[in-house]
Amino acid sequence: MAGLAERARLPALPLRVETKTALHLLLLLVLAGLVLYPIFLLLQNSFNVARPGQPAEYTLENWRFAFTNPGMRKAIINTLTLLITREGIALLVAVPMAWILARTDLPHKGWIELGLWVTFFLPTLPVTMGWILLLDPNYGVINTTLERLPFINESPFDIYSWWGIVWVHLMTSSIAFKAVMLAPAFRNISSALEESSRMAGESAIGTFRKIVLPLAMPSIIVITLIALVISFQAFEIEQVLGPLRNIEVFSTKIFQLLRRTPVDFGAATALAFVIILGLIPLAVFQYWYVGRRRYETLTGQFQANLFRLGRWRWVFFGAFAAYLTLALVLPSSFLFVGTFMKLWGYFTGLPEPWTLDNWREVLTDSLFLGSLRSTLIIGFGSALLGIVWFSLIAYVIVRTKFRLRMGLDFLSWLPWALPGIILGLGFLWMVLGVPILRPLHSTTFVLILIVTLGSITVGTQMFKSNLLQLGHDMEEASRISGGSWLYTYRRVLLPLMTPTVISVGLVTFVFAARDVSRVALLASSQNRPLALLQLDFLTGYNLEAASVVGVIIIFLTTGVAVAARLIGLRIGIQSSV
Amino acid sequence: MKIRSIWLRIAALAAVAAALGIVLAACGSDPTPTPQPTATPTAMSAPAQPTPTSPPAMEPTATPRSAAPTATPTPAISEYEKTLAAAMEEGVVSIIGHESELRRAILKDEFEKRFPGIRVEYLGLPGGEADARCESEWDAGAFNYDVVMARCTDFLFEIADEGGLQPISDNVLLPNILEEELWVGGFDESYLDTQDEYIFSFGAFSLSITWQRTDLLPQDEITMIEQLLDPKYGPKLGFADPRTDFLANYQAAFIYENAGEEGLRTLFEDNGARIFGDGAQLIDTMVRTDDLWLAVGFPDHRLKSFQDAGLEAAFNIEATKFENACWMGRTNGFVAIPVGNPHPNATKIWMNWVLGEEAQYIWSYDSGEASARADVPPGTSGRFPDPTQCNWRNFQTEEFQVSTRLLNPTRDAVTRILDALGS
Repeated sequence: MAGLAERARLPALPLRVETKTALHLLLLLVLAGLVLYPIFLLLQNSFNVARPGQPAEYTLENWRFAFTNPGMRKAIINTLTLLITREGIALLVAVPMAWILARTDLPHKGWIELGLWVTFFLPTLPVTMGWILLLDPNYGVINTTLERLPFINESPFDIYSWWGIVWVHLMTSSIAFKAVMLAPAFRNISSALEESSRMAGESAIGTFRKIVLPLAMPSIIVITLIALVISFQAFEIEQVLGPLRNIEVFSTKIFQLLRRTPVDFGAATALAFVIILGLIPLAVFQYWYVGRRRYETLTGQFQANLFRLGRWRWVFFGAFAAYLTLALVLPSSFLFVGTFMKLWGYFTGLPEPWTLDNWREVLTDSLFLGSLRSTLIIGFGSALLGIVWFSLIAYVIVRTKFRLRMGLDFLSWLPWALPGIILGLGFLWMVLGVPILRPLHSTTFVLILIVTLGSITVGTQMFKSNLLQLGHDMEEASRISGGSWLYTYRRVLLPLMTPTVISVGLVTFVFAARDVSRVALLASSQNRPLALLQLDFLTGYNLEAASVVGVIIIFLTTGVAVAARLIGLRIGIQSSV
Repeated sequence: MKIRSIWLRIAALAAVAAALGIVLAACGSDPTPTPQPTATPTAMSAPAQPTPTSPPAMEPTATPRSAAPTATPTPAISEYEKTLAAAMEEGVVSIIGHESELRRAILKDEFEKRFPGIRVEYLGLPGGEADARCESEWDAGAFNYDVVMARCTDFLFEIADEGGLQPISDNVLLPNILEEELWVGGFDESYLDTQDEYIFSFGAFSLSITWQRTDLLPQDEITMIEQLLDPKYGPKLGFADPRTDFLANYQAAFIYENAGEEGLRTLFEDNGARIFGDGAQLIDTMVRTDDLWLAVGFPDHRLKSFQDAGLEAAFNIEATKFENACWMGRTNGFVAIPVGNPHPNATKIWMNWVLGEEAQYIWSYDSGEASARADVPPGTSGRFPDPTQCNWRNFQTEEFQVSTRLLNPTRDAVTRILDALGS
C-alpha cells in the first residue's frame, strides 16, 4: 500500500512525456544523421576542387561552372513546361481514376488496380524503346501503317518531340503512380458523407467536388509534390528522346556532369542543391496546408458502401481498359516478347528471329541467383524497415505535439530531392568516414538503409495522409478499455491502416528492386541486386538479356503485389456494394 | 471473395508463366558453342604456355587457332605450383573492374572454370562510380581489392606515383609472358604508367572515328576527316550524344582536334548532323532506314550481335578508313595490383592466367576486343590495329594525352553549339 501511495505521488505524467520526447528526439536525430550528414559532406566537397588525396582547396568554381553551363536557362524552361503539362494532365486523369477505383462498383476493379500497379512497376527504358518502335517518324509501326492511308502523306507522330516526351511520361508512371497512391485516400472516406450529401440534393459530381475532393486534398497535394520532385529528377526519357530535337531538361544537365571525364560530382551536387532549395517552400506549404484543418474520415461511424455507376459501369471499364492497353499491355508485350528475340524489336529481316538463348544466358549467369537473392533480401528488408520507420515518423508528425515535428517532416523530403547517385556518394563518404560505421561498408544492411531512404518521402507522406484521415475516437475507445499504446497500435491502428501499410511496403519493395543509382556505389560483389545485373547487360548493349532481367524484376514485384493484395483483402477494410 | 479468387488466379497464372519460361529456357537447344582453345589444362597445372611468334598477327582472323601449345617445364613452374597451392588456401581473388557482363564472364567465370578452387569476387562499376569508389575507399584505408581493372585511371596514376601499386613483373611467374616480342607494339608499350612498371595493358585497339553504310556510301569516298564537314553528308551523319556517351565523346574529340569548335559548329549548325540519345538508337536508325550513312559513337559490339543474328543490313556497316583519323594503341584491358592486396597468391595465379595465351584467346574472341598478344588472333577484325592504316597512339604519347585532354573541351563545345541552336 505504501508503495502505491508513493507511486501516486510521483510525477508520472511529466516523466512519460519526457520519455516520449526523448524517443521523438532520437527518431529525429537518427534521421538527421542519415540525411543531413551525407548532404553536409556533399556540400563541403562541392566547394573543394583539389584532386583526391591532395590538400583541400575551397573555391566556388564547381558552382560557377554548374550555373554558367550553356543551355541552363533553356533546360529550366523545358523542365517547367514539361512538368506542368504532364503533371497537370496526369492529375486530371488520375484523381477520377482513383475515386472510381476506390469508391464505385466498377467491374473487374481488382484486375484494373493490379494493372495500374504493374504499369507503375514497368521499367522506364524498355517502355520508352517500345514507344520508339511504335512512333519513330521513320520506322515506327504506327506511323508507317498510317502513312499507307491515302490522305496521310507524312508521319503523323514524332516520338522525339516535346509532346512525345509528355506522352511517354504519361504512359509510363505519371498517371498510374498517382492513381494507385490516391486510391487508399479515397477508400478511407466514409460513404456516409457522400450519401448525406446526395440526400441533401447534391449531384454525384457536386458531391465529388464539395465533399470527396476536399477530404482527399492532403493526399492529392502530397502526391502532386512528390511527382513534381520526381519530375525534376527524371532523365531517362528526356535523355533518350530529347537529343534529336535538342530538348534538354534540368536533370539531363546533371546527368551530363556525371558523365564528364573525370566525373564532376562537385558541379552535379551544386545543381542538385537547386532541387533542395526549391523543395523548401513546397514542403512548408504542404505542412501548412495539411495542418490548418482536420480531415478525419475514418471514424467509428465509417461506412464503406460503394457508389453504383449503373450503365456507366461499362463505359468507365472501357476507358480503363483502353488506358491499360496503351500503358501496360502494349509495352509489357513488347518487353516480354523482346526477351525471346535474337534482336530486340526486329520482327522481320532475320532468318530466325526467335530464341531462348536470352533466358538461358541470364538464368545460367554466375551472378543471377546471388543477385536474385540480394534483390529479395534488400526488397523485403527495406519494405519491413520502411513500414516501421515511416509509420513512426508519420505518427510523430501527425499525432504528437513534438515541437520539432516540422523538422522531421522536412527531413523526410530531402533524400527524395537528391539524385540517387549523389545521395549514394554522400552515403559512401559517411560510411567510410565515420569509424563506427566503417564495418558496415558494402554490407547488405547499408544497401537496405539507402534504398529505404529512397522511399522515405513517399512512404512517410502516405502514412501521414492516412493518419490525418483516421479519427481519434477508435484509439481513444481502445485506451479507455484498457488497451496499451502498443495494443492499440497493433489491434486498432494497424488494421485500419492496412491498405496504406501494404501500399507503402509495396512501393518500397518496388523502388528497392529497381534502384540502380543509390546502390551502385555501395554494393559489393556479393550483394549486387538484379537491377545492377541489368545495368551490366545494358552497358554491353545486350538489350535482350537486359529485358529478361527486367521481366524477372516485374514478375517479382507483381508476385509481391498479388501476395500483398491477398493479405490486404484478408485483414483490411472490406467494401460492399 | 470474388476479388480474392481473381487475385489467386493471377498468382497461379503468373507462377505457371514464370515456370514455363524457365522450363523453355532450360529445355531449348544448346547455345552456339564459343570456339575455345583445345587445350584443357587442369586446375593443378600451369596454364598452357604459348610459343612466342615473332611478328604481330596483323592479318585479322575470327577463328582462334585449333590448338594451344603445350607447357614446357621450367624452373618457374615449381614456384608456380607452390603459389597455386597457397592460392587454393586463400581461395579468393577480388577484382574491381569494368561493368560489362562480357568482361566479367571472361575474367570471373572462365577463370573459375579453369581453377575451381579459387573464387573470383568481381565488382563491376561504370567509369564515374569506379572513380568515386576507388578514391573514397583508398582515402579511408578500405581498399581491399587484389586487382584493379576499373576505369579509375587517374586514381591509379596517382597511387602509382605514391608507391601504392606493385610492379606487375613481381606477380608474373611464367617466364615467357613478359617477353618483348610477345606483345603487339612491343613490351614497353604494354605499360600505361610513366614508370613502366605498374599498370599493364593486355589489350590492343584501333579506333575508327566513324562507321558507315558501305552500300550507300562507298568505302573509299571518305578518306580524310575534313571531308565529314562536306554539306552533302548533312543529316546523313549522326552522333550518339557526345555529352553523355563516352565513345561518341572520344571520337568527336578527334574531329575537334582536327577541325576545332568551328568544325563541330559546321557539322551541327550548318549541315544539320543529328544527335541521338544513345548508341542503340544510332544503330537502329542505321540498319532500319537509309537515312543515316555515317555514325559517330557507333557501338560496334552491338553490330556484332546484329551480324550474328543474320541481319542483312548490318553486313553493310564498316569502319570508315581515314588516312588522317585512325589511331591504334594499347589502352584497353589493363591490370594493376595494389600494395598489400589481401590474396597475393591467388592474385598471381589469376594474373598468370589472364596474361596467358588461353585467357587471351577467350578475351579476344568472346569480348570482341583484340588481345595485344602477338600469338592470339583478334575476335573482331575491325577492332584490330592495322599499322598500314593507322597511326600508333600509346597512352604515354603526346598525341594520346592530347586526345584525352580534349574530352571535356569537346563536350563543352558541343554543349555551346547546341545551346545556340535552340530546340
